[in-house]
Amino acid sequence: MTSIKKKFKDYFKPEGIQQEMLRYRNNGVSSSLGYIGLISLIVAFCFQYSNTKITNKDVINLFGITSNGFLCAFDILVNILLMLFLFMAISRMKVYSSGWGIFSICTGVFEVIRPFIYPIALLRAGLMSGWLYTLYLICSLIAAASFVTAGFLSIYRGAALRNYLKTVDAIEGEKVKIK
Amino acid sequence: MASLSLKHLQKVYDSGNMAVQDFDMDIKDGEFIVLVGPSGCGKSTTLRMIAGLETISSGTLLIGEDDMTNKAAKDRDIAMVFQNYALYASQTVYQNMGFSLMLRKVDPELIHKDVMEASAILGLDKQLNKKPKELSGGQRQRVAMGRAIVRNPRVFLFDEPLSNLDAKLRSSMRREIKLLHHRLGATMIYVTHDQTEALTLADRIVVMSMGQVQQIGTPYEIYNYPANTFVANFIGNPPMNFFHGEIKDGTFIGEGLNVKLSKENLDLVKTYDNTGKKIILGIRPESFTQGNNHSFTVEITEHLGQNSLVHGSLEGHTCILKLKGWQRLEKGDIIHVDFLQEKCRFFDEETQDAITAVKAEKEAE
Repeated sequence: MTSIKKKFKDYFKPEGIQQEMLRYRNNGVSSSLGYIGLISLIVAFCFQYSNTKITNKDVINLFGITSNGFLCAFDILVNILLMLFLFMAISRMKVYSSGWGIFSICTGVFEVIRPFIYPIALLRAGLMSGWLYTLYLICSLIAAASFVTAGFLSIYRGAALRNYLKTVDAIEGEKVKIK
Repeated sequence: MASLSLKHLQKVYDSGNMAVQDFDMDIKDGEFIVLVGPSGCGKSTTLRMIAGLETISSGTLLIGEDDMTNKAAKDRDIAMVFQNYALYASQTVYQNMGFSLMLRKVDPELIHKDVMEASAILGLDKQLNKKPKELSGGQRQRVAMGRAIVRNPRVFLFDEPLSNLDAKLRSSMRREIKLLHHRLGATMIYVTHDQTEALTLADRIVVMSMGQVQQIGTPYEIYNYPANTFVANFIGNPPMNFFHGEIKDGTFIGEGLNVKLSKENLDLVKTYDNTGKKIILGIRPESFTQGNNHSFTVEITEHLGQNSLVHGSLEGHTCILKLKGWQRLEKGDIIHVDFLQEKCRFFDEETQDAITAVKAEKEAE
């Protein structure tokens, strides 16, 4: 337990030599968690559309929109944009960006809420099977947990690195700028 | 750190080419050994056999008490610094230096401490976040050395690490390597074709030619008492002057050149006196003095600042003199010189080997 506590502390509240190490090492943990989240998101996307019937019949009513084709297209567009921005976020969190860490957390929160917007409407309309929805939900929650953890790690470790850099002379290639 | 024992190492390639013949040497713990010789003499092959990058055709290699003859390179606990640095272009200096420890799954905190220590020794602490392409040649070579240092190996191997650097940088890096050796007290084996590096860095030098060891000795011994004409010619810039002739009645007689020998020199070459056996008299360019016995006709003068190299002819024999100061000598000028007798060296014309007091006694018996 002591080693797990120590590891948790080293990750979220690095001190001493751990703080110094941040200067020369990338935030690999956030980056890895980000990629896990991204893969889960892609898998969830695949589950959502693998056996879902897209029909022109008005069986869905989401915020007053009944066109299933439109809702489907919008959902796919959101997925694509999200993945693009998440790639950016992962590369920036690798160098302790706080801003992109916040974006990652927000994405994680969105992934918790998202299954209960369009996918559940598909389920209720009988366009998506129950087991597919369950798989989609699990993948979304894994993605959510990964993005939130990655985001918080990036913010906390970035803050620790900035505090450390205030106490030492700057060198070329610093991973963060001291605000 | 460790001692090394190279027992009759040989390297024969499949084609039958014998790259290294009977290399036999004991290296003490903490010693700085330089293998020097012209291209193709087998020095890099010898180093690679020690590293485990080449198989040993015959002979035994011991590092400490351990027989490493057939062990893989990774198990020999040696670190090598290459001529072309061999750094990973996509990794920062920090990552390059810590990479070998990371592969060994060493604790990240320990890796960090070792890397920071090595970077402080080499003056790389401000460069740790840079990639190799952002560094100068000297800095890259220091990163390569730092990567070797963090491994804390038993033996360091250097394969012409300064060959890619300009002359001024080579000079400063030589100093750094020397300081590093003093600091670490490590056993180091260094390969170079540059005899200046050999003379300045080594505790002992191994001069090689065509796969064979010509001489092993301290820089002083190699420079002042070369074992044969090859060593005498290779070591020293400019090389030793050679005069071919024979000994008659205590005088060295070459074509047009007569050099009266001192008692000590005569004792050395007495078995050649009045025998008609051919002998070579060797003398370094800086070992002439002003005198009246020999005339030297100037061809060209090279000014080196503190010294001048005067090329010309000493009584019909091509010769180079190294004179102090800025000599204003023109082509055709004649100066008068003497041989410093204690600096004269003698070689057998047939074998090309140096005639030493021990050899002279044996021949006399």
